[in-house]
Amino acid sequence: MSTSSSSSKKIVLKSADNETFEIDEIVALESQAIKNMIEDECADNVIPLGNIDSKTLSKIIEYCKKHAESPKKDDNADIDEKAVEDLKSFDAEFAKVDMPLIQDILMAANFLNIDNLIGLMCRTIADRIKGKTPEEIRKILNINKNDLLSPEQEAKAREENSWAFD
Amino acid sequence: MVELPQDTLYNIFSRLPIESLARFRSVCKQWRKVINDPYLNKIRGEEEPIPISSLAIIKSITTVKAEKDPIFKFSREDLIPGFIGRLVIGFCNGLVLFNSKFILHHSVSYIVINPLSKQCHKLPRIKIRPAVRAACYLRKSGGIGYDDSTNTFKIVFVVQEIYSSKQDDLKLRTIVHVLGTHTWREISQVPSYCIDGECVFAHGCLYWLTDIDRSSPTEPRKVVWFDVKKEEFGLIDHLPKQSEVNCTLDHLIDLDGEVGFVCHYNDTRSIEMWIFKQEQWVMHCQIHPEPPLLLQGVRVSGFLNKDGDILLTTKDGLVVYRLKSGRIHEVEHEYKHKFDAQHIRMYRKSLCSIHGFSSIKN
Repeated sequence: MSTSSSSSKKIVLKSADNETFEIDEIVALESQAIKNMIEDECADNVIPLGNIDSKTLSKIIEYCKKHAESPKKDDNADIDEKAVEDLKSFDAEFAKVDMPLIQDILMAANFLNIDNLIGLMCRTIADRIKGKTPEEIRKILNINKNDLLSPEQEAKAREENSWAFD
Repeated sequence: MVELPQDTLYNIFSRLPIESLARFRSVCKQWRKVINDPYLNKIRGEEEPIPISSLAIIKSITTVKAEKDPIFKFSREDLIPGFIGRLVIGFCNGLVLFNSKFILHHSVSYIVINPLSKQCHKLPRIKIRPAVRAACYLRKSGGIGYDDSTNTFKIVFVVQEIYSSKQDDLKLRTIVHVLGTHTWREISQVPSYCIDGECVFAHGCLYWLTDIDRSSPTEPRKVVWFDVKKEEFGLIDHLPKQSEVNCTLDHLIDLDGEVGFVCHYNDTRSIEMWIFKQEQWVMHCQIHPEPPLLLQGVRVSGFLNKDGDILLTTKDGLVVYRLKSGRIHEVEHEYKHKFDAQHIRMYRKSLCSIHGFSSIKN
């Protein structure tokens, strides 16, 4: 990245609730969407993010800061294992938030196109729902009430499961 | 909090074990749709979070899951009353293609089954007339593959006309059926050799061994492949060891999404397993069954897990070959019926739905 030497360049992000966050450009570049905006020179000094609230945005910035500081895998240099471990434990701590926030972060990460973060959030959701029943899932996640199966369809699905699984 | 978009569901579900997915089919319609989609199975394959181990005993459609490796739990259930699976033709992404027979109908037909979800689909009859009147009968070899560009399953048969009098020119034809449609379509592409035996699907292609050439039986066998998307044939013109007099049994096998080749040697009393990787045959292992295990009764069923351990069937049951130690262990199981080694296969479980599914009734 040619900008790494002049990393003092700042980017300002503005959340839906009008809070502004000034961050180093290198941190903002973790987002592929912002990176594209900067490269296409269509980013003003302030980038408005009308669909991300300040609580979610500050979490995302926390994540991007940490990952921007850490050596990248594709740098090919000797990655010291400690740094990798450090990042792993950071990710694990980072994901220890409630389900609504996980989903908000995931949606924002989708919008900002931050691949690692999307993966982390999907993995977290998968781990949390793995052992749950359909009823519990409907409570934990926001499932459209108009999209539920008819009682017959549900009975059929259950019957299939009792055959294949305990 | 908003609803999770469909793309995200694929991402999350690709990280879940199949037991969870099976349960989640009843969460809502959108989830069921994504879980039934063959595409999910494709991306799960790349990211498989659990060991492969699952096996199907085809004769009576029994599926098995590994409890605590290596203890197996069997669930015996006849899939369709009166149905007898006769011959496995091929596996693909959790679906099995057979040549089958119904006790009541005395008719032979081709059937696709998902042993896990109990879905079953009878393929339309193959109506193909021999080009030459003198043809005795039509010999069909085929397979089932998945085309990720169209998200469909294709069933392919190579039809050979067999004559009572010897004919020199090899007359082959190829027909293709897209699962869920009602017709077979003939394509102009044909393989350069007759094909034989069970088909293996790997990396978007179907693979078969070539038939033993009766006019020159010492001619080494080759591997024919068919690109499911492009509908083109090709050839791997060598096997790891050319079939020798001492080779008593050889066949292709699916080894966790790669093409494997199994060969039994009488002289060294061993079984060799090879994997086709990057245009090369790479030796996976050499197994030396020791008495009381006899070479003749043993058949390789496939990989038991990601470590490359192998499940073998014998006349009396199941054994596991541990790759690291090179040892063979017996397997505990609760199956009370007699094993037929020829009918046990390891396969990748999936919940993908058979499009155009129609139930078969007696």
